[in-house]
Amino acid sequence: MESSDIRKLVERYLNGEASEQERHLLQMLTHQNEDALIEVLNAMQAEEFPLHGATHDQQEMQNKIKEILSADHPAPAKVVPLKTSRRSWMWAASLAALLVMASVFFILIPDKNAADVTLIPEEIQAPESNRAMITLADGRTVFLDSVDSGQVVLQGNMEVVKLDDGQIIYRVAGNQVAPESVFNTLHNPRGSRVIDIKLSDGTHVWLNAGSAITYPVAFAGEERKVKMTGEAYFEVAHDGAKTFFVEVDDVRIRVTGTRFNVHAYDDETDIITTLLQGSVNVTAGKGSAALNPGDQIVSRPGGSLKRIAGADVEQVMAWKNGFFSFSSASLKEVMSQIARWYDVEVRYASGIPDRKFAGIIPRTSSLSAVLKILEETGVHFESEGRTITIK
Amino acid sequence: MKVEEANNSRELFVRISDGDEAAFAFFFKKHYGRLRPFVSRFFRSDLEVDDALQEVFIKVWLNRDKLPHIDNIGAWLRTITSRVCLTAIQKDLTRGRHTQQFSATAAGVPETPLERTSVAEIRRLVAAAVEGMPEARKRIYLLSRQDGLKPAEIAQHLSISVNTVRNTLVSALKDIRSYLEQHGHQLSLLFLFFTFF
Repeated sequence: MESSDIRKLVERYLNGEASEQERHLLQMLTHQNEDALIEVLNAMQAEEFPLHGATHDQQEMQNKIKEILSADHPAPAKVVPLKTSRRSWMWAASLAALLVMASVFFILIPDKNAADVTLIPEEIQAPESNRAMITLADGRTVFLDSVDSGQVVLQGNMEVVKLDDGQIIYRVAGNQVAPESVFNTLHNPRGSRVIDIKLSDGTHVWLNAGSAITYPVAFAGEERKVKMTGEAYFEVAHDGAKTFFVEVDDVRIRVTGTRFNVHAYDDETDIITTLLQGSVNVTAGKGSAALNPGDQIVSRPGGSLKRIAGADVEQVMAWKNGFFSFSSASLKEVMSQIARWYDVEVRYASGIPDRKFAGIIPRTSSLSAVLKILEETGVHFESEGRTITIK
Repeated sequence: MKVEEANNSRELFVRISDGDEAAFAFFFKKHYGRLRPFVSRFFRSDLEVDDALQEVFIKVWLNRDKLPHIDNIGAWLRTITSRVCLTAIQKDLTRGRHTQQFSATAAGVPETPLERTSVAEIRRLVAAAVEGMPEARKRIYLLSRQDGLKPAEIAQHLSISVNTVRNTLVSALKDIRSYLEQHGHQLSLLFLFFTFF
């Protein structure tokens, strides 16, 4: 494309005269021919530059300059006198050392009255936003929280759209060729709210904190296949011709019907598949088992499969409905859910207490509120920053 | 351009690269009003234009060590400005047809550099970058930025050569840029394209 044509295109765009097609063309250019566009914009600037700019309010200008210059002003942590001899530097240093020693000393003196008080960490709130991101096939990463609703990115004829309620959907846009074997990964980090995504086939997936799912932008082959880690709940769209598979390590879930939850965090050995509706078949190593609604399959590395009939589905799905729900859960299970949701690290000062917990706590509670509840059952915590130590 | 003027601007750029804030203020005032009408064409609100121009000049400031080596500052500045405007087009078009509303907090072009990022965020990252510098480099950088000392004053203060101070300040800026880049703010990219001019 000639630069004079690009110039016309940009002018039409700026004047609001560009057609849908022209806007599309320009959008492509911004990605595929950046240099040519920059050159055109430079030329426009060179022509349009007035020799002298309009005058601006001096005070306002001064504020703008100050703001920009502040970008690399490290906050003045200490006042260093401009003219100072080496000796006074040393003096200041030894004073500082004295102060540090004094504060250490102060901390080491135990406060008898406080001996039995468990420290509740400073307020760590439940995740208020979603910090999920999509990694595109070319390695670029789209941070979904910094994106307005609307089209997020276009890959071939598939557009990724963020809806007003935060849901991400993949759908066909335009009449370009469907991209083949182009994979995206949606990653929902720890301490991030549940995100839900609709894949190009209409399958709806909810992703818990600390989870990731990799899927093709368009399902081109004879089967639909996604990979995941962490925890996800699926509502698979029916397509008799293309079977849907979920893969976690060497465990393969073949889906013939619709709703199920997969719990497969890297720091836990069990991969738990719970079926809510329809029918799925879980294969691990040489073992294979079919599930009926309400059933659960616990698979372990090495191919062992254990079927649990009549699982507590409500409890399994609590995460998606905004609750922590435990019945006869170990402290480790409880704490690992807390760690992922609030993005904190949990340590055990002297082994993991062998106790079981039951209860329901809203996931909107602050961390200290949750710990307080646990504390009432006799578990004691100590916390520093984002680390919780169980005594 | 008269020789005298050229010499003056050369000196101005050296002063800016030394971290002279008054010299930068002069540069800012000279170019701000001239850039604004062009940049305004790409945005619908004054606030967005302000933000875009702020981004342009933050880039200049954080690349100040390069100024004395650039032959055509006008072309360099235009390229930085064009890049910011290009990002604006991308954001506008990526947002697509779903909304007619225009706003600075735009859609997800992943390579978006500074937009939507407040100066406070940059400042926080710069502070972290400075914190991670080797002790000597950090000290020299802080003497320059925090205490506003000129390279010659720092040299005298530390009994080292002015060249060592200048080189250290350049290394410090490189550290800062690469740290900012690691955190999604592509500042050094500028270097790639202004070499064409």
